[in-house]
Amino acid sequence: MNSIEVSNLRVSYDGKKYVVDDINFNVKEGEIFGFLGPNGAGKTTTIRVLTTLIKPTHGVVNILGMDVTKKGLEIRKRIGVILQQPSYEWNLSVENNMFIYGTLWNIPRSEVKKKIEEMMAKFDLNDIKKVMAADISIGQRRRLQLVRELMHDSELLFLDEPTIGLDPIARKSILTYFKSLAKNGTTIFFTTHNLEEADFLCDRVGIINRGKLYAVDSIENLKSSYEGERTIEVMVNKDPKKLVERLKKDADGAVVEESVDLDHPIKIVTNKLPETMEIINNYIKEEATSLIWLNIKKTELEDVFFKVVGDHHNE
Amino acid sequence: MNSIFRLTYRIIRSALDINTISFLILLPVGYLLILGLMMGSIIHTFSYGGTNLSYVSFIAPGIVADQILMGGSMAGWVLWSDKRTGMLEQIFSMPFSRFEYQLSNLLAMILVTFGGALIMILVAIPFISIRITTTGFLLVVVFLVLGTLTFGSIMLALGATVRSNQVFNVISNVMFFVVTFTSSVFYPITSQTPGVLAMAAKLNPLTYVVDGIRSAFLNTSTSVDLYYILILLVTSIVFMEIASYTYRRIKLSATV
Repeated sequence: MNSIEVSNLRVSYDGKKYVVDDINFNVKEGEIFGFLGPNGAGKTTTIRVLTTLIKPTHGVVNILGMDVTKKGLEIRKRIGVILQQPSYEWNLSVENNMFIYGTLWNIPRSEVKKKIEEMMAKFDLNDIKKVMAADISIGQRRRLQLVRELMHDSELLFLDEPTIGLDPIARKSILTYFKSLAKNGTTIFFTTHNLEEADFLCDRVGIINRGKLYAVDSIENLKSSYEGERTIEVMVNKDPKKLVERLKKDADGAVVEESVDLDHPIKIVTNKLPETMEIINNYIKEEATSLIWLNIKKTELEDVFFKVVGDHHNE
Repeated sequence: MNSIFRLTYRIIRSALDINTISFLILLPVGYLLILGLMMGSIIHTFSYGGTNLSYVSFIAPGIVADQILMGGSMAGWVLWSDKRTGMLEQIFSMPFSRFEYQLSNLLAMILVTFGGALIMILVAIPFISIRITTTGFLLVVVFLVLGTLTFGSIMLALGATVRSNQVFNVISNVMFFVVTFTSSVFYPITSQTPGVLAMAAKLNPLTYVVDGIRSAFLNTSTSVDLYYILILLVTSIVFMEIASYTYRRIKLSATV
């Protein structure tokens, strides 16, 4: 059974431009689905429709078998939502923040207290439990926001870039916990920029850019569909912009990501490795420059993402 | 526990810290004791509703009624604060309707208004002559509820509409000033009141709350008070509807 069914979803805020444009996908029960895309791609807008915060302009969206435009309240009873935007009761302690949240979810008082103790121990919040939310760090607030949502049971969990601001230890512990939730049957819809996380956590991913969904598949399938592709990372000791221009002009079918400065490599995803290397060699000879760094690697999820987003960049 | 009560509990727990409560209580107490006693030194007694009153006895019911503005501004502030701290969007993603959030906010403010009014009455008792009956007490409750619904809804509509904290503060302060000083909180509206101000007082719902509570305090309530209640019932319904409309149109943060 599908927990999420999205058909021909389109969303426009101003009635002119679609920020989500005709996307289709399903998420199966118990699956962890990653929704990947660059800034402004339409990830948060999609999650807002799925969590009934905004209505779709066109299309049909069913969550747990219910239409988001008709059964918003019923849907919200059965889902958990961790929004990208920070949210907390600034003048209450961490412990009281969790208590109020548990009360809002109608968890009985004695159970809330037990849950708070359990979650605080599990996610290392005991040291700050009496500290006001306004006085803790951004990362600690994010942890509070995540842990608070895990106090109540949900069949479907929406996570909008949940690990922003978390330190590596907290990130690992929370991602592992999400995996254990999915093993127990919770469906997870997860948006992120962090492709390493998506690779670790997700069964399938969708890649969205400029409101359009360009790929939906398992990570393995996506990687194998780019089997012939190689990623070249190259750094030269002068004028990298000129090399980028040359590659964009001459390297047929390659996607070229510009480096921001001399300290970062230019990244090229191509299925014509020898030809592309020749262009680089010629450039070095003609411009009398030298190579600082060269790395050629097999396609990873990051490269697939880069390729899909890059391929459709000028559409 | 019912959704509205859970949301109300949250507002009371999270919005009412010691600083806010101090502000809510100290400002009206200051009006009552400083303004009431200072003005009382130049206006000893005057005739109001057929009885001779000290100035402090006159303004005490007005200050009690003014609590609804305090409660109202809190309602707007809670909404504003929830927008700023992301809690509004989070609550809207939980199993609550926007209307439940609005009602719980108003209910929380009614409780705050009652708490404040009770403290004002206790503070004022040593200085005023009060002749309230059981019916009078019930009338005070009705006027406070309707007044809070009216002004709470106005402030909620404001909190839902404006996008900056500064604009919210400026508008609410100006409103507080204009509404208080064009009502009968500090002075009776008589035939000698300048025409424009008398008209403003007539259009101001706070005048009806103040006059109704004052009549109840002095045990001079008449059928006119029922007319006041009717007016406040209409203003409550109209402004609650306006607040609901602005709520439905609240734009959540603009991240794509």
